[in-house]
Amino acid sequence: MIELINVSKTFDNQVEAVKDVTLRIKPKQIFGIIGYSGAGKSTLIRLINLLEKPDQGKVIVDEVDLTTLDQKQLRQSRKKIGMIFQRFNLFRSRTVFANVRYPLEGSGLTNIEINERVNELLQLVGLSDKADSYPSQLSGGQMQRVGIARALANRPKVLLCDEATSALDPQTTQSILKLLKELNKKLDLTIVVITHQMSVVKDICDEVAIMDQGSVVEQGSILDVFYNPTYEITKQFVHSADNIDKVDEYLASKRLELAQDENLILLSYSNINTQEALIYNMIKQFDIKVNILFGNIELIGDNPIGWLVIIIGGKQQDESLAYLRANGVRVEVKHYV
Amino acid sequence: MFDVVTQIFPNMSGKEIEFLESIMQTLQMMLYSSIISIILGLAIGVILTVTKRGRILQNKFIYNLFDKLINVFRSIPFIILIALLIGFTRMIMGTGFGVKGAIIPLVFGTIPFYSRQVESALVEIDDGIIEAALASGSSPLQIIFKIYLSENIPGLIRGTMITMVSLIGLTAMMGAVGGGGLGDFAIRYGFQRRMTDVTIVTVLTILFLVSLIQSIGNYLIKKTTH
Repeated sequence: MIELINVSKTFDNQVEAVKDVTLRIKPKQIFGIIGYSGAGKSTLIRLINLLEKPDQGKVIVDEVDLTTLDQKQLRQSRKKIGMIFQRFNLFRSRTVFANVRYPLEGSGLTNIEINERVNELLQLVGLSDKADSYPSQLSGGQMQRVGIARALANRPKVLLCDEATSALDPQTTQSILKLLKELNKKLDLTIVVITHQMSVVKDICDEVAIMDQGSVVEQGSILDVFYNPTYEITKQFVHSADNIDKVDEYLASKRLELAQDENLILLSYSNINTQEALIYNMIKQFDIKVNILFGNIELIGDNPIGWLVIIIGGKQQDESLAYLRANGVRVEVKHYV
Repeated sequence: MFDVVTQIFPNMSGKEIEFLESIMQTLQMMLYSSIISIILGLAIGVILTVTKRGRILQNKFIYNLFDKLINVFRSIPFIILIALLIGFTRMIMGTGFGVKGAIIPLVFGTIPFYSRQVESALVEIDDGIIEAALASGSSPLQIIFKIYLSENIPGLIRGTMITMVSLIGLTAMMGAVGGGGLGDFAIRYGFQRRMTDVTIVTVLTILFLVSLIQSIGNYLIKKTTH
């Protein structure tokens, strides 16, 4: 649905915001782009609807290379690419109804058709009762819903979300994410989300790209990236969503005393084997002692990813760890002591 | 009503008709020059806003041209501007005197000030809102009329109000050089014939005009703020 091919953008002040990025976003997907502030993700998302013009490269949306269009054609294409913003960017002088009506004005529809469409959109985002309110009378979550309704007015195939939940509290964030997920299913909408919050990506994205200093350093299905993060920056993001780093700190600060034949082990596993009683089988089968210190299971989309920190002792340690590895569990020996 | 006035301000007696005419002249000067200045000032204010670097119709040449012109005209004292424009005024209006002769200097004195007022009202509109309109496929013309000229109506009214008040000051100054109006009335009687009570009546009248403009402005601002 969206293809960026070798796209670069340098600003007048010599800042290379986006460096040779190539991305393919499949139709009907929710695609996340995550990175720290300054990584270039805001510029990248604006390259998709050409609010920023790339210095080089192609931007293909729905099989049209936007960089080859003239201004008028570009405006037509933009009507099929909705966008929502961190600070909502609603028109303050217009009511909720008139905000949602804005993109439809002058579109050739009759007034009756426009009013019907606006009411339909307000119903879709659950704000029918706020039609006559002004943005200043709404909460952040409600403002973002107006933003979403406005972005969807012309029935776009793509919705770009520029840090759409960063200004919202956790509960409101959840409700907006839920709405985006519903819209993705109901309208077959391709959604691109940029964020610095790993929790957002974890909750709604199918695929994710990690950006650092203008480049996409890692890209893949959300499960792969979560379970096998390769780059340091990816690991930081992944661990910001679980709390495994905190466990590391805690154990280090406790100056854990291990007996001579004991080892501290980090086990991680993805959906393939959470159904089986692996630990139980292992203890039954081998001559070992296991002490579970910490554990956690994350749901990535519909897939569980878990990890356990255990102390293992006894004679058949190597055999039992081999047994776990054979069953798809990743085993990492830790040295805190 | 005039009986009460002439009792407190004795020198006003016999000048009732002339006084009313002066008020009418001031109002005429205000009306014509403000209509022209508001239309042209809005246009120039919009041009300054959209041609600035990074804006929707970025254009260095046009921006610099208007920016510099405004600075030049704003730095000329009004009384000198009148003298400077006298030839031009006679050419266009056929006379340099009276209400007709006053319009051109008033317009030239007001537009630069008002353009800046418009510019600063438009700058208050968040760039994000412009971006949202661009993202939804709006053309530059749609953005000018539906966003820039619609999103900060209270700010535009405030700027218009301030400009109208300063315009009253300019019309009074026109009186000193034969423009007629309340300024002329006050100078001829109050100043040259030392009829201080006439000056006071003129000041009170102008005070009333200023507060009228401000109350109307404040009412409209309240009505358009959401």
